[in-house]
Amino acid sequence: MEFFWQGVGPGLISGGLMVLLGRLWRFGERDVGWASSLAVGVGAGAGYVLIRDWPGWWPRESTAVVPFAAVLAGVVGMVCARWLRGWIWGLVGAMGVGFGAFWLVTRNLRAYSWGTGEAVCWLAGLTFGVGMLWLCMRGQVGRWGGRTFAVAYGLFSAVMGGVLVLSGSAALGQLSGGLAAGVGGVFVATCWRRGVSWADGVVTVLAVVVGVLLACGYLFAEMDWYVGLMVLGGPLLGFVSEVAWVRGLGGWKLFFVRVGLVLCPVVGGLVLAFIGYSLD
Amino acid sequence: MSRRLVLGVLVFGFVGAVAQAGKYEVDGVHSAVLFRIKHLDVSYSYGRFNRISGRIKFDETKPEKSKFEVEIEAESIDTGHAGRNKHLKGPDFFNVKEFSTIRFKSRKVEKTSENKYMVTGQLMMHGEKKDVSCELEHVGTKSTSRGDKIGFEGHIVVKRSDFGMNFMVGKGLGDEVNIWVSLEGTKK
Repeated sequence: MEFFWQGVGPGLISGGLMVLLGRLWRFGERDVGWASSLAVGVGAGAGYVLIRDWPGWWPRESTAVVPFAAVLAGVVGMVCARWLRGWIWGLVGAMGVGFGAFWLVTRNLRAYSWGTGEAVCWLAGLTFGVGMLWLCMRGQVGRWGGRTFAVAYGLFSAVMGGVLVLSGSAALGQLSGGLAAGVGGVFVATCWRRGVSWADGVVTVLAVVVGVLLACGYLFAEMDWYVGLMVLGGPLLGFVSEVAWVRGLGGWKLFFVRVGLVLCPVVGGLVLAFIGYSLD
Repeated sequence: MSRRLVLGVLVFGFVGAVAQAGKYEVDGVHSAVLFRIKHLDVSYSYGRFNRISGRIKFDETKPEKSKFEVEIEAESIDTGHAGRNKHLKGPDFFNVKEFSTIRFKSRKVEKTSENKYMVTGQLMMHGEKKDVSCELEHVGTKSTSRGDKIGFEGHIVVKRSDFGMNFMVGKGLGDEVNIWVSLEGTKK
């Protein structure tokens, strides 16, 4: 029963919050963006509490940064989707939250293992990575619409959870599953509304939480670098669907191609992680 | 007369030296930290840490002046199964890349009975600090060809959840961890 709530709970919270905000604001299409950002951020953050425990006010270990980063990214995504709608603000917001999260995640490594140069390279590289993820996802959510994006990245997060489990951390895998459930909850709560776009707010939460989980998987669990790169390849490969003849497919075919393109590399990463796990 | 004086000085000097507080370096090769944890509520799984270091200051006549400091490399955890070791080193349990050292530093040492001492101090593990007490038995002290040696052994029970290690507590893995510590020190 507990496993059930850990799996479904984040989705119920994010979906419930989405419905509640919808009732309070009676919002239209434009408002769904900021509300979905807040709902997914809170859902993913609540997932940590359901799966692990209350993290305490100040995150003591790397994984405890996840709920704080998720909720903060949700709030920043909400602000960017509602008031600061220029893409540059969204990018700066995601990279800012990402930098703060990585600063906390790597504090012990910076204190005991890394030199200044190494720390600067890592922090810059990880923050740049979140920026790239954000740009990829934002480009896709605008072109694909909320439903395709939600299905693609909900499944992406779920499969990434499997990769993290096989890379030596069941907890990180569960947290990725919590993110997937959070996205799923908002998807279910909004799928009945035609023409609704999630806008770019939710992209901030996804980019930051995916970035932090992958960084934790590589730095603290046993995720191989090539497995991490495969996972990151999903959002990049999604852009192949913008090639003219692929776009020409239209309808359900295009939907499946887009979802498939995002999932192909991460499923490849899952297979590689499984092979590595089996060899232990 | 002078011979007796010299002999007397030597004898008292020797006794004095033995009675004095000795400072010892923990010999990692001849020390051990073993642990066990309940698995699926049906059995106990055992493991050990392979790299231990530390310092002992022991004064038999004034035990309250004694000190124990032990450092364990969390990375050296060994349960006899590579996959399980990897999991234990990861973020679900010890998170060794983030918290590489398990450290105990005594604050108070009291004699409880013949060769038995209650050692109270701070155990730092997984980034959490907790006060713990452990009864140590003074196994022996001896001058050997490898130097002056001293040995202690003790047992302690801790709750891993007290150290923020909550993964699977009560879901197949116990919370209580029994730890046995055996220390051999070489006089500095």
